[in-house]
Amino acid sequence: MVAPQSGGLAGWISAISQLLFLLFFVLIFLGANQRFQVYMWKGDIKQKLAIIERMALETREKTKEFIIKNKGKNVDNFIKKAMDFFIISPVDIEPTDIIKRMDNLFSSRRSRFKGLLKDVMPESDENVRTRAESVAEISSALNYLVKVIKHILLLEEKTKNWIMVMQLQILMPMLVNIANAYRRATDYFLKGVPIGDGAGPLVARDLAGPNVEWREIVEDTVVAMSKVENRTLYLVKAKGPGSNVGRPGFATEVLIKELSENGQKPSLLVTVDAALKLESEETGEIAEGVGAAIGDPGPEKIRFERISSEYEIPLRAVVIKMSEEEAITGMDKKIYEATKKAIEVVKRIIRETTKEGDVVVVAGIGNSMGIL
Amino acid sequence: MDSGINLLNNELFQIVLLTILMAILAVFSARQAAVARMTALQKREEKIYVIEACGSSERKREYKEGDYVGKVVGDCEGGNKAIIKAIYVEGSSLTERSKSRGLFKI
Repeated sequence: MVAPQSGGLAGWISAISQLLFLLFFVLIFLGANQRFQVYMWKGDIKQKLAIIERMALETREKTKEFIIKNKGKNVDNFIKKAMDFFIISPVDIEPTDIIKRMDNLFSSRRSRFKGLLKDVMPESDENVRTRAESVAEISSALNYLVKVIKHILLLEEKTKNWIMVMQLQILMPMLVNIANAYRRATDYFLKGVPIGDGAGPLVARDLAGPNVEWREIVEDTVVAMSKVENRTLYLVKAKGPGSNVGRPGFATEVLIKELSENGQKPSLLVTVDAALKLESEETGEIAEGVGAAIGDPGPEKIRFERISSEYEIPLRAVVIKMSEEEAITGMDKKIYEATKKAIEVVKRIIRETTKEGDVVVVAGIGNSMGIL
Repeated sequence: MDSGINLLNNELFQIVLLTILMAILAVFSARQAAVARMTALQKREEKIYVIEACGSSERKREYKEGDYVGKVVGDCEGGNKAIIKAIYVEGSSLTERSKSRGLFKI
């Protein structure tokens, strides 16, 4: 180290800069660079969290306005209940009757929400209430996202586990995109516009034609009969135009049992649904395969599998590819165009797999919002 | 003049100082730009259209509150009913937007 020359400013500057240089290395050895990095990461997370919080607040306010506009009462109380509502997953280390238990939990959830909404919006029709339920769910999801991000930030401050902050910072752009998708979805649910996930019900509706009668076969799920390619076609979809996914598995099970009892056992069961695409795939691509095309946690999907194996009915699947955001926001023109192609694919499968006069069941899986 | 002033006048010192300042400025500008991009994500121009069908003829119009697929919206010539056949959004495809920004070169 150079000693400062007497009276020379250059000497002092040189000494101080060398001392700072030394201090810099000492701080690096003590991990100050990491602390600075964590500080920067936290700043970035907080900036993006503010964006997500704004979206959550906006969605919550829109939900409240929608309910109030539709003559809702005790709105704040309902919003609070909906925000904090939860389902405890069934015990899965003992899988016996897990589907039955899951079914029971989902039924309880459905009836609880229906009851809550009937109390809050007694004068509104069912379609409006189902849309209010969906926006409340979106609002709840955004609220939960904000809570989890804050939890990780605070936990890091408590435990000094900066790996959590690092992982969160890497995930933040994706979380902002998810939150933005939810925020955008709210507007479509409030308007009642069909969403991308409605591709399946739209295919079922178009296959049935405009002049058929739909009957409610099980709760929130409808069925219609039509003639296509000289076969008798039974179409299953969720009840619209409210925001419903219905119980397509249960409905198909009831329908196939009814038909078989009347000597009309179906020769083919086709499920049509929206499927998540990989980033390199195009929106609206059609793919076909075997199995039940349905994204539920289990109770509906297993019904398709069980009923088709019980009656030895071939189970085919047609999917329309889209991103998660496209599935929950307004139906894109590309997806609408894809439904026309999906109809042709379903007709081809019917022609190839069955003969004239056969009975075929087609289930359009997805949310029937905006689709009668 | 003092030798300290000479040091500050040293060109190399000024270049290093300027580079550090520019680097800090670039980092903060990039962060601000990222936030601006995310905020811009929220404002997209999308239009909702409705296809009304009268038999084989179709008419496209803008969406009105209360429209839904299957809604009878009037009578057609020949006694049939005009029905909403489809409702879709134009200008919302994510992949198209990403491609137009040049993020994906597939």
